[in-house]
Amino acid sequence: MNGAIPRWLLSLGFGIGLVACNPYDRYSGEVNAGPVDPVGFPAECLGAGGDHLNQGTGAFVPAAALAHGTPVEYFQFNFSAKQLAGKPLSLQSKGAPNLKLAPPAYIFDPGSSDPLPTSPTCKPQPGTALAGDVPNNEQGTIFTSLPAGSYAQGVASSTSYIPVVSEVPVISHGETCQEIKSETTLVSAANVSLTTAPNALGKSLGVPNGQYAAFAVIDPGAAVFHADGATPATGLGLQHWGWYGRYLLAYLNGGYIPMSGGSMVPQTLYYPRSNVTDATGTGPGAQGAGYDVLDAVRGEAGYSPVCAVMTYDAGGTLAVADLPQSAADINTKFGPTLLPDVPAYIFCLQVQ
Amino acid sequence: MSTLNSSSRFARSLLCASLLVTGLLSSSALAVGQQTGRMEGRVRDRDSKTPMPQVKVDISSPSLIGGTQSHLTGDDGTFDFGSLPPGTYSVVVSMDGLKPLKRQVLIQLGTTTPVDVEWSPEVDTLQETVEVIGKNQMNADSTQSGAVLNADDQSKVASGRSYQSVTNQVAGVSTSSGQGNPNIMGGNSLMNRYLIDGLDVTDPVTNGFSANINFDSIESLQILTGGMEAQYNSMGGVINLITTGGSDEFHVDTSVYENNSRFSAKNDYGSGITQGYRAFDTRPTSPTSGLQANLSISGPLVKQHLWYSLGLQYEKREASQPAGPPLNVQSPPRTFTSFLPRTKLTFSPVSQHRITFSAFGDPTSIDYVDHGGGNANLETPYASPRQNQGGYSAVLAWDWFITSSLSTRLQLGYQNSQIDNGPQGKLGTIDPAVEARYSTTSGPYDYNRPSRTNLDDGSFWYNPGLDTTDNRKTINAEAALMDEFQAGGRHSFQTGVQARNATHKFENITLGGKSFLDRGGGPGEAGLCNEATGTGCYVRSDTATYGGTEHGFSLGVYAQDRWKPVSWLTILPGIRFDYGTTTDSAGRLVSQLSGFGPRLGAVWDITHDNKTIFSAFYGRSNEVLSLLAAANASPTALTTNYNWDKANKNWVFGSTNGGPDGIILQPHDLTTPHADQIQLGLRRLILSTMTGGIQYTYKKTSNVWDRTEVNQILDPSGTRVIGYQNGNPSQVFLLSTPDHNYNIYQGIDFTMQGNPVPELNIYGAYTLAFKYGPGADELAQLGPQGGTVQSQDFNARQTQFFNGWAFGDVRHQIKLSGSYTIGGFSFGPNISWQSGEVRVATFTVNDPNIGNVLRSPIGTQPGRAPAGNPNDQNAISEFRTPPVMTVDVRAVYALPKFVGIQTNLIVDIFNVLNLGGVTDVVTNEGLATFGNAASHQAPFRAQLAIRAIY
Repeated sequence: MNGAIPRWLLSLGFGIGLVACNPYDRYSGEVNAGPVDPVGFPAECLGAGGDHLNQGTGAFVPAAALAHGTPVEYFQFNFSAKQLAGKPLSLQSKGAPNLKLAPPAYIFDPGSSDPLPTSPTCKPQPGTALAGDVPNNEQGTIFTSLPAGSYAQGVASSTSYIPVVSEVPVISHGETCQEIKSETTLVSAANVSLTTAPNALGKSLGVPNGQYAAFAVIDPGAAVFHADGATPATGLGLQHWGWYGRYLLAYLNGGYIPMSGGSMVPQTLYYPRSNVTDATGTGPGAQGAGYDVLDAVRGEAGYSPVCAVMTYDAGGTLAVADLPQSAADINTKFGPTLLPDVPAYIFCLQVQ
Repeated sequence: MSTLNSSSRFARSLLCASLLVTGLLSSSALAVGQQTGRMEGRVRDRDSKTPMPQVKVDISSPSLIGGTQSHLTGDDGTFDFGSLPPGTYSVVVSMDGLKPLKRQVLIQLGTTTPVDVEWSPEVDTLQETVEVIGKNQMNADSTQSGAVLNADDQSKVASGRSYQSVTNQVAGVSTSSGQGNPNIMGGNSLMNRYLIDGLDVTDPVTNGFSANINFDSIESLQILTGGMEAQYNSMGGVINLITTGGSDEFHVDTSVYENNSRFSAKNDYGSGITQGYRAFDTRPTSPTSGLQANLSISGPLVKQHLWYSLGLQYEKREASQPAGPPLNVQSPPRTFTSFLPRTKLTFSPVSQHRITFSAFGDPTSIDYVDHGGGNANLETPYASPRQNQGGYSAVLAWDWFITSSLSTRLQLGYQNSQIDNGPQGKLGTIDPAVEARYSTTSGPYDYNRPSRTNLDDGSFWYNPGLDTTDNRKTINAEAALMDEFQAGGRHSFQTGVQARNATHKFENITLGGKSFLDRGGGPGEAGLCNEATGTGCYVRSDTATYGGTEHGFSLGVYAQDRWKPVSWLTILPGIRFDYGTTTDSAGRLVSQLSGFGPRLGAVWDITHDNKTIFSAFYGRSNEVLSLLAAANASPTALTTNYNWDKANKNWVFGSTNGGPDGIILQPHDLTTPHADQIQLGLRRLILSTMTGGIQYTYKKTSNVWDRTEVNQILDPSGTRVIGYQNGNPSQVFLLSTPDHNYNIYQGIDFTMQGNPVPELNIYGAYTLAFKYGPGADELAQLGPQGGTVQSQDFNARQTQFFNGWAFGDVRHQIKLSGSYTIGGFSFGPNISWQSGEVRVATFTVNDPNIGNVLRSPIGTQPGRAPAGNPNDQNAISEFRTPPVMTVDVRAVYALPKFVGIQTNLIVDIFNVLNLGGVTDVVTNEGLATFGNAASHQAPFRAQLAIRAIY
């Protein structure tokens, strides 16, 4: 019997040694944790027809517009009521950047005229990305905050979300594309460089560089189309893919926001408040109905993803084809009738 | 003992085996199962301890047809008797000129009872011991783990009176909520083998049990959980039962068990997981009751030569759930009604031959088949299915004892079972007044009315989706040759061939040719799709009637040796080879699988006194025949899905699934599903009447069948289909056995059993177990949500979520059962406690081609507002059912015998503590009831019975 004890212990030790493992080990690290759950997203981040309880219900279709005669499309997002009630264009609080309003986002190798690089410098993942895959030759932006709306029973949904992020530039040094999926990993990654500083808790975080981008976080399951509502047929291509704490996230890139003294500089969006005759009949003009006029096209000097909305009175009913097609034309013909709309500002993201 | 030398006998064994294999290959089928036990012993001089050769050993038993069997001890004083029907045997040791010695020996199914006799010629009278040898034996020459439950012990313990329920008394066995088939030591509920009188009654399609049997007719039930010898091929466990046979005495066994609602507590627990008994609920209690009547008759037709045993069991059981959301109407009870006839004839014309014929049937109907669980509050009566099931089985076996050490067994079996699952309104009856409590508009029952599912609250309306007819036929055959010989020690060698031919014929009717998934209209009937207004309309699926027949055939050849080079060491080398092939209903080859299953075990009697046993085992089992895979391969009718166009208020084409192109097969490019098991055990006899043991089990189950969807192109989020590889909007599945579909089980069992005092019989076990891996599922069969969770290979963007604790993972199990007998009174508790079982939180997405998705790994749930952030990894928490404890008790009072009749009065009390344990929870995060109890334990209930045995 003396010999039995060590074997008994050996068996037990062997067993316990083998069972002491965590099956979720493979779920740790920078694993793709799936799409963000849009259950708390405000309605405008879910798309038309969206349902926060059923991912992928909504779709995003931009409004068609013209800028000095050139057809453009813009995705509209609204200012929050709270923002409109104060200084709508200010991104500051008590003289300092308001990172709650415009939370930091880690943007890799940002370009000078566009936050996203035209030629990513991360190392492409091996293999070929298949249709529908997250691009494997670029690194998605790392977000630090998600849109949030209230869905209390019996109370109208509300939100303080605006589609603006504070840029934290990250320089790639050969890291594998899409390898980094969270802020926690990024700030300690060896193969990227960025400026960090400790926060109040001593945690090292990226420091925004003072530039702001109009990135609208949307339900990643929602399709995004052109203004025709049908192309691209997959509903993919216009949105970009980023990460939030290892969750996959989709966003619309409206480009850099011109700033002046801590406030966003808008371009102007015009639409007629007088009657317009279109295919559906005659009635007062409406914003987003397809005949809005913007100051500038994305990439031009006057472009901003923030629009000050103005209405004009054409003096009578006009057919869509007879409406003015440029800001200059409106100012020349109907300048004296221009009035700020309510709300006075919207986000009007032209995506590339 | 035979006079042949060992080497020539071994050669003869191989020759016989070869001939058997050759002969049987030409037959259509073959089958399996250990139905006997063994006795091995030695006779030594009491004083000198030297072996005593040429001593005559006679054995006899009421279980042994053909009369007394006799052997002479060999030169080493050993003797052995194989192929003994389980029972108590009288062993008489004698030698000319000496006084004989007598022992009582218990032979148990599938085990070897050692009989160590120390005898002295000085004894001048016949010695007889009252104590039964073998009751607490150490099973010192086998690596097989599990337990043998015999009828005598079970008659004193409260149980569900079915072989499926008593299986749970054994260490390493657990049963998932809502499933009747156990998970055994890491094998899932689709991986067991069920044998009745040697006939493999495993359902060829579901791989679950396919036959119920009269409980009082069970003589012995062996539950093998691991360490199996080569005659068994199971990736899970083996439930091997044999029925009672006759004897030379006439016996009658009759009983009635009554479990009336009046003896039961109200089944009124709230649906909230924290809600207990609703003390002020005045609604009528939901019925829970049962009635069972049994009659068994056995005796001789020709004494010593021809015995019979007949039996019939009638059973009616009602189970129900209390009214709860969303329908909040007390549902009709699930009513199970069965008749279980059986017969067994045992014929022994001469002592060398034993022929056994066993036949049994189980025609059964189940009204409101889903109403014992969570669906009770989701289905209206019209939408409830009823199931008619059952069939008949027969098995014929011939044992030929060629010499005292050489024997053969041939066995042929047939089973025919039917399962018809269709609307309660067609297969059964519905009281229109009951339906009227749910719906004011449904009117008379209409068989052709399409089913409707309201996704807003999960309720089902007007009809179940399908009316299915299934027939399964199997032919099983087995031939085995057993030989005992000496060659460097004593060998018990067995070789054999087993085969199975299975067919599955089916027809599926979609009622009304279509079904509706409604959403957005609100809860209840008012929220169903109204095509005039467009409210509630979401998806319509049109499917034509279809059916067909699938076929499968398997052949297994094995050889197993039990070699005792010295008395304290047993080496168990074995190997088997299995081949199987299946075809689907279109006649296409689905699989052609084969695999070797090596087995190697060793049992070391450390202290050389049968009191301290260490065993080690490695073995592989292969699954070569699965009509479940063939059923998945069979082309279904083409289902055309239409989505509701809100703008135009009409149905527009969405996609198709099924049809002849819905499955891709690769029968020549499959790896055979297999399980590798390592088992280490240490057992010790304690206090001479108790055994204690600790056992470690590692089991890896690999290359499990699965379906991989290969046609849908998904967006990066995996929640929306954006295109199709072949251009056709249809789901296409590749049926395969992928390498990544595996899981691992590791468990430690602590067991203790025996009789501390003669009046007390106990069995206790604690199991600490872990089951995990990337292959949580098998063909979407294992998820607790009844298929609403697709497997890990359905949505490529979701695969990572299936890597975690696997379905069936239960961390802790404690089991305690036994009985205490004093005078005519016995008291038998049966207590179990098990920790929670893995569940997975599901989320519905808009795209009907995706269905439900996961947002965190299996066995977890993400954070939920307001307390938890759904997009915070740190908020992910474990998601399991709560622990469940069950305490059942049986009390038996044996009245004094009267004219040879033993009458027992029995009281069973189930759920003595009236615990309202939650046995399952709502797992769909889209429902307001998420996390609530989907089902509770049945409440306290008493069962009264009387049993008379002549």
